[in-house]
Amino acid sequence: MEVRRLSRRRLLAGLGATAVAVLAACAPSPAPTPAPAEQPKPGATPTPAPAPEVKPLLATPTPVPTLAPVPYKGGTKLLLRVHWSGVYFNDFQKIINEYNSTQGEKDKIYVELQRFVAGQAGPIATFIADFQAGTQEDIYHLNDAYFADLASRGFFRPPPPEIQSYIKENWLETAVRAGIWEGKIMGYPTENQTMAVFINKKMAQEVGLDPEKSPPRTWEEQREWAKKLTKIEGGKKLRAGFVWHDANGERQFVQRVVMHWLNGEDFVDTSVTPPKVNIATDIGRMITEYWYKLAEDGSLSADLGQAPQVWGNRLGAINWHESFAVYFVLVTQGQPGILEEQHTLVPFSADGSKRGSNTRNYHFLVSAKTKYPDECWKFLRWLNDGPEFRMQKFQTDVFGFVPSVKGYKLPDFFPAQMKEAYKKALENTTPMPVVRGLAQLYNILRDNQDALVLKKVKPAEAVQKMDQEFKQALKEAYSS
Amino acid sequence: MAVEARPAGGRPVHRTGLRRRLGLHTLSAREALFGYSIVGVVYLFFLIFVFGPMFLAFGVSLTWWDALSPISQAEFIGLENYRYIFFDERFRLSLLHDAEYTVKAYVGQIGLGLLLALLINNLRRWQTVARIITFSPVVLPLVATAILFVILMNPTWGLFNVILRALGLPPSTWLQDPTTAMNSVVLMVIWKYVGYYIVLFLAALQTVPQEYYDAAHIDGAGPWQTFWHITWPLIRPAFLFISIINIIANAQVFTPIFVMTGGGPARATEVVVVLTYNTAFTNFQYSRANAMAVVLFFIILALTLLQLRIMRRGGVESY
Repeated sequence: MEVRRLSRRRLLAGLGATAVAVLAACAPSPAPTPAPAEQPKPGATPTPAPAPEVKPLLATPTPVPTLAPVPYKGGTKLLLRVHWSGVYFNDFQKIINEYNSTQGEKDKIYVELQRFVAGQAGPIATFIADFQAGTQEDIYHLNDAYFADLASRGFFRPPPPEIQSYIKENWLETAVRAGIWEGKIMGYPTENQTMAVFINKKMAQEVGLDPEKSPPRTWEEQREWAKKLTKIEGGKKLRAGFVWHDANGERQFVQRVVMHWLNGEDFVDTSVTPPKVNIATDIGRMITEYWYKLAEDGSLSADLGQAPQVWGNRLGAINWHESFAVYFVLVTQGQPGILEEQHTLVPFSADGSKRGSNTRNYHFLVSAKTKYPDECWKFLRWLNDGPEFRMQKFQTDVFGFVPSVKGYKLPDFFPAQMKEAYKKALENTTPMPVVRGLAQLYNILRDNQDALVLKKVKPAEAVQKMDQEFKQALKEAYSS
Repeated sequence: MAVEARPAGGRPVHRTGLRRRLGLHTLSAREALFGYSIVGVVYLFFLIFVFGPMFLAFGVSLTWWDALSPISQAEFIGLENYRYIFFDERFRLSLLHDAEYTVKAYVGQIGLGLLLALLINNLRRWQTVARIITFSPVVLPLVATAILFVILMNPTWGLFNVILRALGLPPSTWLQDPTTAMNSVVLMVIWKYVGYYIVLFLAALQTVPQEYYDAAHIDGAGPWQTFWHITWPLIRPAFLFISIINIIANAQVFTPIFVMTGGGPARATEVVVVLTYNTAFTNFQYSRANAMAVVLFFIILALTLLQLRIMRRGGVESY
């Protein structure tokens, strides 16, 4: 029988063809193919591409086809990446489609929206890699954790003075302050995460407490409430009186910012360089000891799991949290009715003499490397400016964020009492500190406070360790 | 046979002459060139994507660089990063966590893997079914498996505690407590990867000639004697090889810990790669993170060389 042998030439040709095919498969995917749209008649008003019917909120997340962008018909292309997915990405794509098909055509700008896909190393690694490679977005949508670190390395370009004035005039002062670098307002604040104290009315009534008529007014009262609200049966904790932001440095840090400020000092003193974290002050120690006391009482949820699970499964009664987490994470993920169960309080100081809360925001920022800064600001102005305040509307209606635009309404679906409490909370707020190394500070606080509430260390030891680590972290962050 | 090619308007070129000039006039030389050209592609890939970054990482570890500025701004600081991590308590602690994880995962994966492989190898029926069942977790995505275990290990409503309570045993805090967190992660990786080691051990076990077992049986050897005097000496080379790949893989653990605990609670599961990640991407001390990676590389290299030496002493050069 004749055996056909593969010649080297054919093998090499085959390998070459395979290599080409592999390279083609690995090449960047082309822009999403737009849905075939009917060609507009001359003179007719352009209309957005037909969109699949999507509901803004779903009880159970299900895969949703990505909404097609309107076709690119020319103009300056701007890249914007956001981290939202599913229906939320589609809701934002609708806004972008509206811009591209109306104002964008007039401005000769086309905004390409991409879902930000962070690799295993997380968003910051992606930001760094893209920036170094020159493939970064034109417009950043950035969490405050990295704002100062990136701003200090020249990642962003400040807006023209008239936009800075506009932002200053229309946004909450504290939200604006968290986006200032070297005296310049760097971008539009968005996604405001203001903390409130949520108390589950049903649980309170079960143990004879009434948060509507006589809510806790001091931290000692709150501690007593937490003790009463904790439910232990047969040695098993069925409910924690106080929800601990277990393993979540960001939330623990924000909580500290509010608690320190309510008691008369900033958690991070930014008047000195490097900034100083006030963990070893009298107030800092008092808060550390307060957590430890709650842990000793057995009132904290640290041994029940992470806060969203604890809260979502009604395993915790008192929760210092922000509205987005309470509304979006729980209501949209199959916990209807949880908002109605709450009585909302404005956060209060240890002795009850001061009330208020914080602002904490993402920001829309323009890359220092963009070739089209004017176009970026033009688009952002359309997205953020009044009277529509499209971005604020999107944030409020879809996610349940409280406004950072002055005087903008609170989400319609908030119960009346919750609205009332938030209205008061937003009248008196403190900003997040603008410091380099913030993400590291989050982790230091988390690691040490988690050890504290699990009673692995005593308050004095925890304070000493945190103080030392904060100092070292800030020293290094400001020396580079 | 000389083959001629006649370029337009030029003199014919004798390929044989060209090959002679290039030293490729023999068949073996041409075959060698062909072989090197094929292997060269792989080496080139390794050079660019493996060795290149390794050398770059070592170079960066001798500088101070935050990865946010251009690399041209990196400042040469010699061994300062190494000096820092040498005295850094957190790094030393992460090495200890790494060792704890590696030892526990090794014992679980290799011990259980060998035991189950011996059992499966002795099955007269259902061997294929047993292999499929034990190997199926290996094909699951690691991140999905890790998330699944986080849910199963929830101290309040997780299935594991439900089972423990049903059996009248006290519930565990699993990932929530520094004393149990590492063991919980190890439990997951044992479940996930034991099937992989079973397959490797089964392959080794099936190379042992049946005649040896028959002879041992006739001589009246019991199960332990059969294992110790026949099975073990014959699978030892495979055992050592499997041990090396297990230790190399476990010493660089990142994903299960990153997903399940993030290094917590209270840093109880912070292994070297998790600390390296945080140092690079949270603290922006990119060059220091590179130094940590280099130290881990040399530790794993030393362990590997040690194992190879043990293997050679045991007369198992073939691996």
